[in-house]
Amino acid sequence: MTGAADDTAGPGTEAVPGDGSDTAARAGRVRHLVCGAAVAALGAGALVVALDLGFGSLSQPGSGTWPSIVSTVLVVLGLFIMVRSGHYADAERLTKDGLRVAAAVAGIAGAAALIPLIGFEIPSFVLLVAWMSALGGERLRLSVPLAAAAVAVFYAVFVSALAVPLPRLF
Amino acid sequence: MDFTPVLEGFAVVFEPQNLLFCLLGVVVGMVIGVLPGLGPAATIAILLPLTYGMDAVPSIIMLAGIFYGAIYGGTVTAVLLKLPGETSSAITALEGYPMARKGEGGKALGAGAIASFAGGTVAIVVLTLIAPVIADFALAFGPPEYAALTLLGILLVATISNGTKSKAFAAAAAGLLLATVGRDGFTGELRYTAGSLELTDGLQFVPIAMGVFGLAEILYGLERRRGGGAALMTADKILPTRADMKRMAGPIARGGVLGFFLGLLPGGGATVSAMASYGIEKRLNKGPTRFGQGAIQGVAGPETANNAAATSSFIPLLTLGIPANATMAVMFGALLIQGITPGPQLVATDPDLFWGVVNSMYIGNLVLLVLAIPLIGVFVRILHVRQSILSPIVVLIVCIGAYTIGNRIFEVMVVVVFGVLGYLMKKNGFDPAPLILAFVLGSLLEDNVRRSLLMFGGDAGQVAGRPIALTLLVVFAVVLLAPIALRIARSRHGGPPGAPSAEGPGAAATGPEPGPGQSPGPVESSAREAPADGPSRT
Amino acid sequence: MPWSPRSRGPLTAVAAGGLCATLAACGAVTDGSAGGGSYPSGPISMVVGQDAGGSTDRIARAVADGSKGALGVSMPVENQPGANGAIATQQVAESDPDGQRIVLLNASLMTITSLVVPEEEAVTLDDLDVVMGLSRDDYIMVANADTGYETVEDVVADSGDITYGTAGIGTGSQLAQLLLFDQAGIEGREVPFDSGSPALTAVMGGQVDVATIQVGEAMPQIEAGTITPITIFSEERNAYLEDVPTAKEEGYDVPVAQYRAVALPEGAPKEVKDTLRKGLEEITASEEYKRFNEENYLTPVEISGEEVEKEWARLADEYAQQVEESGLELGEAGE
Repeated sequence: MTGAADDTAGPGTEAVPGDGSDTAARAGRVRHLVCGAAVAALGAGALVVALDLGFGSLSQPGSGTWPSIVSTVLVVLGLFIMVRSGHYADAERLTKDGLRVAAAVAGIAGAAALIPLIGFEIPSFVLLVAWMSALGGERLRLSVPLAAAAVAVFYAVFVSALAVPLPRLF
Repeated sequence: MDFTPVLEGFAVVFEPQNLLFCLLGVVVGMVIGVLPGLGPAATIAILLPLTYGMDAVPSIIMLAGIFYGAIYGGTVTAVLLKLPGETSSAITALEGYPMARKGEGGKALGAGAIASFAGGTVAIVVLTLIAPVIADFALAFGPPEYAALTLLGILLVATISNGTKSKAFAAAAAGLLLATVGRDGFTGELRYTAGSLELTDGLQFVPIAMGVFGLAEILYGLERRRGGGAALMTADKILPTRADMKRMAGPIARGGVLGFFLGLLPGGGATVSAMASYGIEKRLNKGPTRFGQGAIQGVAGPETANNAAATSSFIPLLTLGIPANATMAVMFGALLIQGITPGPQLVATDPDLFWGVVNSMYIGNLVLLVLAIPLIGVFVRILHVRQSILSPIVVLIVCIGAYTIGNRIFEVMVVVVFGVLGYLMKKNGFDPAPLILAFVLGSLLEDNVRRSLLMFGGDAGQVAGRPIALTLLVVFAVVLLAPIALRIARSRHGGPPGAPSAEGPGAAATGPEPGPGQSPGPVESSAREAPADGPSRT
Repeated sequence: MPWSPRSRGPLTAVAAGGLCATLAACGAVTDGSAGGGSYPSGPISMVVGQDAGGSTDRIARAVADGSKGALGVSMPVENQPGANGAIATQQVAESDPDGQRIVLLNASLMTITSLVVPEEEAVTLDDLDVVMGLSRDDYIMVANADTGYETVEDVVADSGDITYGTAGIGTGSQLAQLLLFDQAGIEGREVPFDSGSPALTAVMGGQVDVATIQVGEAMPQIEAGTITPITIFSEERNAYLEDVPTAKEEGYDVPVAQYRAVALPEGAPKEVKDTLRKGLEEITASEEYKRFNEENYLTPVEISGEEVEKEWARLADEYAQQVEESGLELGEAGE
């Protein structure tokens, strides 16, 4: 129970009462300023496009009516989050481990981009081996045969059995 | 009423050969439905050719098996990996996934199977009794009624969130905005497509949900430990205990009724029913577990609603010839291929066939329960695979599953983009659930409001002449205003007890503002109950 | 978007055509001769630009069903929905013209959708070779039984306060209805739905007074008497609804229907095209396929590819001209 609570609620909630709330709050404050700004900017950008689409009238609502209402709400909420940025404590600090996330995302996107060009087998295999060994610390002795087996199973399931038209080499 | 055709329908269904086909359908449906990205509609479409050469009755029975198997397959991934295969199982993931992480994955899946069966049973019984009468209910729902129902749904989205309210509202608004991407169905104009042909039909639910939920979860875990994925505690008993069953009874009963009636409505009914069930159970929760941390009621209620809705959505299909959703559209096609034209004529001209189809659905449901329970142990074992091995394989299945949605790489990229978004949201305390649920409801709301205005010639006051819509709007107003009124009343009596929360001071002052001010509600109630309930039950 | 649509290697060509398949999959070989000698060299992908379960998809599956017997290979149906089929059509047009990848076309994509979308998005038949036409799916205007409408005159009489449902912007349903209302001088409020099925539900429930949908969708309800057929928009009467007059008979020039045809990428060798056409002719002549047409109220229009291209071009011109003359606006994005 405690372990799960730690994950869902995040360390922030626990950090507030005990831990030197000065530093924690300040770090959270900047982040929430950025978050609020991002929300407000998304809303503002969408609002510009929406107004350009035309607002229409009640009997003939235009394409932009609903999006402009929603984006206005976003702007307001974004500003609200900025104003109250000092009151939140539910964001987590960014750490160096975030780089692994970036690497994983780049790996997935790269593999996905390569699939239409050279088929799914090689990119899938490389992604599996790289993730298991480079990110996960598994030995190559394990990851290479495992990745090969996984690709073979994918092939059998998706290509042979389900006839999904995946781009493929073989 | 004459029950002979009903019973005769059952006799046909119970022939050993037909049961075998049903069994086969459930197994195949479950196996494929477990693959992320392949929801019930896709699974049926893929497996349709299997039934081509068969006679009508066994093929329909097999399709029923595939249908329920695929739905349950989606529940399995939603609970174990937070990868929902369709909108309604996204709700199941809200409590099911935390349960799985507590080591109660087996229990969650067991609860899901039992709840699904209960939901299907409730729906079948009601269906048998009043199907022909109830069909008109779907027709009474026009654009204004849908608009009001969706409005209620959006309000539920706000209560569903377990995080900070202001952030939940921001996520919901972003979801509504995402729903507007694509060609506007009223003017033909393109909105937010940036010239991309792939975006002209808008974004789809499944890749967004797989990204924001499933992939984000893996990325988030990757940061904390090598290999990615979530922490896991050892699995405990597979089936819900007697105490669990007691806790599930209420949610199942309420979910069954909700699901049955909302499932009758073409377009969105099933999803709203699961949301409504979750929202209600969250309000009624008496512990011991808080919602958001793996409360079994939050699995049982929505799963029942979901399955009751799945069953009752056959009513508009069979009695009116209206497919209620994408899955029903594929079913419609499958029935047509078998030479059965669902429609008002079917019950009158071919009652055996009508009841045959209905009973097949029931048998599918039953076989699913019988089959799912022993398989749960196998499914849960997936979680015992080391994260460094499981995560990359899941990621790859997600990518291939996303590819199969439109047979192109575009959806895979959507998954990646939303995976990153979901990760960032999680890091910054934004609950992604409101985003996804609002996304589902967004286009329903906009389209039906606009359609209503067109119907009324711009005179929104005409809604007063439509009793169902008016009732729904009144319910909406009550649900919206009641907590605010309560808060005001309470603050007159010297402020809420135990107000302080993570939000700090000022929260109470925001009042009716859709801000964090509302969060003390659930926090304080569970805090009050925890000491009373906790020791006595465990 | 790093997405380049390209052909894929055929599945069962592992033994004989393995090398050729590998090369095609690598994108190294794109000349039309691939597999030309022994067409078909493997399963033929039938690409459909609509979702599984819809009428277009069912037609594709009915055709694909007969492929094993007529062409000796299976014909997996590949749904690639998006932009009313524009994505699928474009994708097939850009693939190898080896006959292993064909597309089921909806005429409305070329003839009607092009009236709504900006010019650069409009799909043309330039990069495709139509193999043969398949069938015609008629549009019918129906009324809620409670309105008491039985003829176009009845609707004209109530002009002003009519609400009418369509299957959406840029569909034949919308075009037919707008043209008719314009010519008959009926004033009303258009309520667009996402497809024919919700439009039908709305007219059944009395949410709108009339709607234009496809005959196959309307038929069960017409037989049950919940909706009344008013008029059919094709140039001749529909064999399944002999009593319902065409708009033309009523004095309105609204020749709108949905036609479907099979096409492959431009530049395929003659043998490939001939083999494919012969195979399709054999399929469409089969009893099973004929029964499928009847069960789905489709009128066979099994004309040659050249005739299809000419006919569709004529329809596109005619629609464009009519819309221009009447000053109608299907959508606002065309400007």
